[in-house]
Amino acid sequence: MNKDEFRNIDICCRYDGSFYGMLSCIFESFEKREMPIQIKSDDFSMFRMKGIETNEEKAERILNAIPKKIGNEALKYLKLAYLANIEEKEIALIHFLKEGFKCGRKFIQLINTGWCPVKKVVTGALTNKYLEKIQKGVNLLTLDSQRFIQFVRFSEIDGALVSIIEPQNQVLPLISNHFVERYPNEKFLIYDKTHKTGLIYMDGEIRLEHIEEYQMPLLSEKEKDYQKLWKLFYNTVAIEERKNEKCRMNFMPKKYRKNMTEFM
Amino acid sequence: MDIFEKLKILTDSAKYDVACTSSGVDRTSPKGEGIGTARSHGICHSFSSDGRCISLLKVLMSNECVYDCAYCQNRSSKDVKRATFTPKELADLTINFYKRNYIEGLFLSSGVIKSPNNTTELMIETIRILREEYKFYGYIHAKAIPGTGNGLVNELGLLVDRMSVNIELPSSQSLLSLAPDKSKESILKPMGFIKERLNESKELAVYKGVPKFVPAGQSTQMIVGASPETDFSIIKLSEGLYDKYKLKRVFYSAYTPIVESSRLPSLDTKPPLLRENRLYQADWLMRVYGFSAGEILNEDNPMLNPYIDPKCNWAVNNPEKFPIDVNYATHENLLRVPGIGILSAKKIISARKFGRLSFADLKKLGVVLKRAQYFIVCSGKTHENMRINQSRIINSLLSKAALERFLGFQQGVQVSVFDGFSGIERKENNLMALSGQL
Ligand code: SF4
Repeated sequence: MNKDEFRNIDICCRYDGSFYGMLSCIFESFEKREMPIQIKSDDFSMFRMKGIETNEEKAERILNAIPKKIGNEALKYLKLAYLANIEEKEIALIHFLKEGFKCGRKFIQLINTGWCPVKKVVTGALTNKYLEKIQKGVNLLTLDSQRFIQFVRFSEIDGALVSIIEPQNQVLPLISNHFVERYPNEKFLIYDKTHKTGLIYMDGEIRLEHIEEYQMPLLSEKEKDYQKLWKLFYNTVAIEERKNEKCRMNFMPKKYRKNMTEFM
Repeated sequence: MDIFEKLKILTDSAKYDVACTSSGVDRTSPKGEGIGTARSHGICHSFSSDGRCISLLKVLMSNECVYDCAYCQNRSSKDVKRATFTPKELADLTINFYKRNYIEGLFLSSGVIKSPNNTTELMIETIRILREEYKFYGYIHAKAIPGTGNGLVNELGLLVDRMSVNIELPSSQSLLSLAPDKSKESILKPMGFIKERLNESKELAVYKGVPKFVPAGQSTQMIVGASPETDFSIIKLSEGLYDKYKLKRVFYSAYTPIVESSRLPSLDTKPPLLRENRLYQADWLMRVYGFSAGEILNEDNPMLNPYIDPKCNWAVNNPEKFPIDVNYATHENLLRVPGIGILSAKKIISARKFGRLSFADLKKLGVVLKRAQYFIVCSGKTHENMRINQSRIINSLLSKAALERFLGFQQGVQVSVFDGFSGIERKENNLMALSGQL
């Protein structure tokens, strides 16, 4: 057996869903040179389950090795991938890191341009289906977070700004900085209904919190007026002679419109 | 009159202004005071049903006007309902829209209420409330009203991020006939003053705490299709403005007929959107790709071709410049190849450091060869060893129907061809819609 290869095992590793938990699974895989058939954070699998304890020390070892051996950008990429919506994400990330440690510092270039410094040819990162998945997932996550920076809509409720979103990706950690800088002296809550998470900013402190359920409180008359004013502006500013539904759809796909004031 | 009616009237009369961008400055509030940021790439918060970016609250201070510009629905001789915001009303509207993440800031223009100075004072008061009382650090773009004194232009410039003076029409003859109260001089004077102050401000920038004068620079816009200028004279004018007044952007606005006048195209004329789009493409070639106006068009060939974008058109008309070899060409020359944009050029340059690139490599890099293949070679070889000739290139770039009309256009048979083609599908109109983010 090639020493680079991992032995395939018919086991489903289960972890707690946390970032460190995922890294602990990855660590285990590298240490034993074993590739589990599944890695999941729920109980649904046809394969034999093996629980993996979250181990901070092991996780840190991976986190420290990446910048040294592959570079800071790869670490950033790994964190983004963790937040992204990627099928078989954990397994894909093992492949990602395996390739990464093999290629070394030029790895990110392979991801970004498709140039493989090991084989000295343009392979296209896309020849490896796992890398392709990760690349696609991360690109979508980045795009999604940009879109939510544009399209989040707040309502003012008792002096706080409140918004509900339903993103496919976990965008909150990526957009939090932007909104903290935008509203340094406000209180705000952005509730991610899909992932049941709230981004809460109060008294200059920002935090993420699990919130099982949240519904928009009743709106004050003043709030309703501002929403009406915005709709009025939105509908008035369009030029009839230039109508272009396709173009609007391109820049603001339907899936983002659900919680936007101008479409409610 | 309530705020709803005012907002409706003053949005409706501002909507034909095209320069709704929030780009050009990066800023967060100092020490976390107040509210607001500006991002240099700009942010579009919504898109209206015409596909245009909504980035700023774009309204007039007032649609009262003592002037009588023929193309404008606010002109003094027209019987329309008039409204004027109070500075406080408008400042409150802006801050409340901003809090709800509807907008990046304010784009404030106005009709001339009593005099240019009087109008500018109202605008200054609005923006002063925003900046000083509400500590608003978001984006503000204000129009400088021609005829305003330098002192007030200066005061306004210290409060806003971008200022613009509208050129309105692409020649002084058209100004004289359609906007008799404005003259080339009254427009260029504030533009020149702003440029001077920008220069001074840059020199002073070494001293901390000196307030910045319009940090995102100045821009302008002109109406296309209301008057008879050719595209060549329009892009020549833009080139001059970029050179002489150091403008950040020139915006083009396809004339939408809203008033009946013997001096203007009839009311059923469609806005020349395709022409507007081509002008943006030509403008982009000048600003970003380093083309001069004279390379894009000339006296004998003064209109942009509706069937083919200006870069392709230039390439087709300059066969002696091609093919270029992707393995050796300069960055500038790579950018001149149809189908190769900024991103592809960058990828090619970083990848060729490692070795010679073949057509297969280009494909893997994600360079789209559909058009580029006719203009490039890889280490001397053409794509799939095809022979390149002029007619083949044109054939491949155009559909059959478009080809016939294109050839007619080339021979100057249909000089006014644009009039009939505003309905042609606009595939590349994304430029326009995104202008808020560029
Ligand atoms: S100055 Fe001319 S273009 Fe401006 S609002 Fe008055 S009439 Fe209209």
